[in-house]
Amino acid sequence: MIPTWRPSLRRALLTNLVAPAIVLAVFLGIGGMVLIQRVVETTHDRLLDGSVLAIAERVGVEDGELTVDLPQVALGMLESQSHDSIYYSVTYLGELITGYKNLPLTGFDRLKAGETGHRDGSYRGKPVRIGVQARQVYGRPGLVLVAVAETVQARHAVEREMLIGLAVLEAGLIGLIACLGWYAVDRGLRPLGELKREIDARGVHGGPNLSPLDLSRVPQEALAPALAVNSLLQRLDLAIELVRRFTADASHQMRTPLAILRTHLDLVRRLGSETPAGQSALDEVDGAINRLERLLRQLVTLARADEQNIAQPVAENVDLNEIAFNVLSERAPQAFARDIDVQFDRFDGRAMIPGNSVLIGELLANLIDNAIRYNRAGGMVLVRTIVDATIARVEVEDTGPGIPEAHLARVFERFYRIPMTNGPEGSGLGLAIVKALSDRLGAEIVLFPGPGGRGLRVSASFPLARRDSERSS
Amino acid sequence: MPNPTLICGPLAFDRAAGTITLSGRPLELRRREFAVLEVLMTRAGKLVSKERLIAEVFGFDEPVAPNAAELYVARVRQKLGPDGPRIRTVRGLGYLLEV
Repeated sequence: MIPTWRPSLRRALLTNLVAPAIVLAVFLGIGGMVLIQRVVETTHDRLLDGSVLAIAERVGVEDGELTVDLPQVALGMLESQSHDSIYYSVTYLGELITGYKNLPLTGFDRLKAGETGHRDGSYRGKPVRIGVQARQVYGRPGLVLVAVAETVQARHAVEREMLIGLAVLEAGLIGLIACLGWYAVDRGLRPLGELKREIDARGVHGGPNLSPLDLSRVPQEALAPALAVNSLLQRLDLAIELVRRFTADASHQMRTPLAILRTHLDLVRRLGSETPAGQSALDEVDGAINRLERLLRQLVTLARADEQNIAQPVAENVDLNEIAFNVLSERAPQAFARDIDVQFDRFDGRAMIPGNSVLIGELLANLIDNAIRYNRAGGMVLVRTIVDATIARVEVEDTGPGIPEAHLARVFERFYRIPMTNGPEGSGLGLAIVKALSDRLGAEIVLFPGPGGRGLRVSASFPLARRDSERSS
Repeated sequence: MPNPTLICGPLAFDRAAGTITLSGRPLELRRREFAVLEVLMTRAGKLVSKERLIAEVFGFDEPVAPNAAELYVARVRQKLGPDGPRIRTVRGLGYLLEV
């Protein structure tokens, strides 16, 4: 599929370079034409002047009559390769003394003695250039006008020649610019082509290679997208590494209860389920199944939180108070079964936040589960909701062992467990789920030591719903 | 068909006869006290919120004193005696009949 239109560097460069060059060339051409005409005119007029002068010097008075002793050389000067016709005339007060009749001399009668003038005109139906000198002849009151006219073929031929030369030069220059531009783009983009080949070559042999690309030869102007590619590669690498670790950990986590299942089922088979040892083996089986169940549930929750689809912009507003109340009510019996007291300090009013009640409930359930599991007999789980100007907050406080400072940074990692003797069974997924869900929900999770430095206080802050949406809900 | 007799530990609620017995001995309960215990027994081991308890015992129409639930629960507790099942008050959440 070829896209209908795609911007092209080459096209842009050529357009921006060649189009102005052409405009410039046109102006140069016009200027050059004017200059050429002027130069050709001046030089040819000078030649014309030479002939006029040669004739004029031979004008004399002989026996009271004006005579011209016409030198052959005078007109020979003008004879050139081109087939221009040369005409001349010497007149006194409008009366022809010698030469061709009726040369167009109007306008030259204003010339003073010794002055020379030039004019375009036409003679015998052809355009001509006329040079005229006015000359004072001894003993005569008026001025003798010596005129030489020449058809303009030679001039035009020279002009044409020079103009063609100029045009060819300009065209060549534009062509050169275009070629250089084309080549410069080619040359400038070549490192990108090499980059493409390097990327193409990857992933063919033995798994994807996601190490950063070598950007040392990438031109400055193309560096930003290339760097972005590198950073994407880096993130991909990290993501793949995470998935790899996750799969390894998850399978390890499942293997332990499965091994317990196998061993104890074996025991039951050998001892029979009626014996006391068989009974305790069945209890172990029950426990292992529970652990597996919990692990699977957590993995599913995690996968769901990771999915992009459920992160669609949230339209509904939910009451954080109500969700916390429901989740805690549901979990409270488990706490009582472990001799742990439960208390809910509820914000007086509604705590409307934008979000998905299932996800928020899942987040709180994980926090409350942790508070119950990592606690002590006779301990306490306190859940509190707080609303201030911009956020609604749930705090879950327990009287358990808390989290030592050294582990604070890592407890949100998947499968990370704080090494504990006599600690409860766990998968290390609870806080990872909380982290994933809070990222999805735009919530902020902060861990604090519990009251009096004992236990743990987890605070989950959610941005409040905007006022107007609250009113309409 | 639901079982006509609901058993929670030593407590038995005979729906047909409309009586609640504790370890076989019938409990002397007033109408409201009976309703409170019935609600707690049907959800034994689970939390019953104060709002729900009030709604089920008094209906939605009657004006109810703010401490009515606590008052009746205290009376039921008294009648169950120190050896009977425990009704737990959970601050902020409601009541729970332990099994």
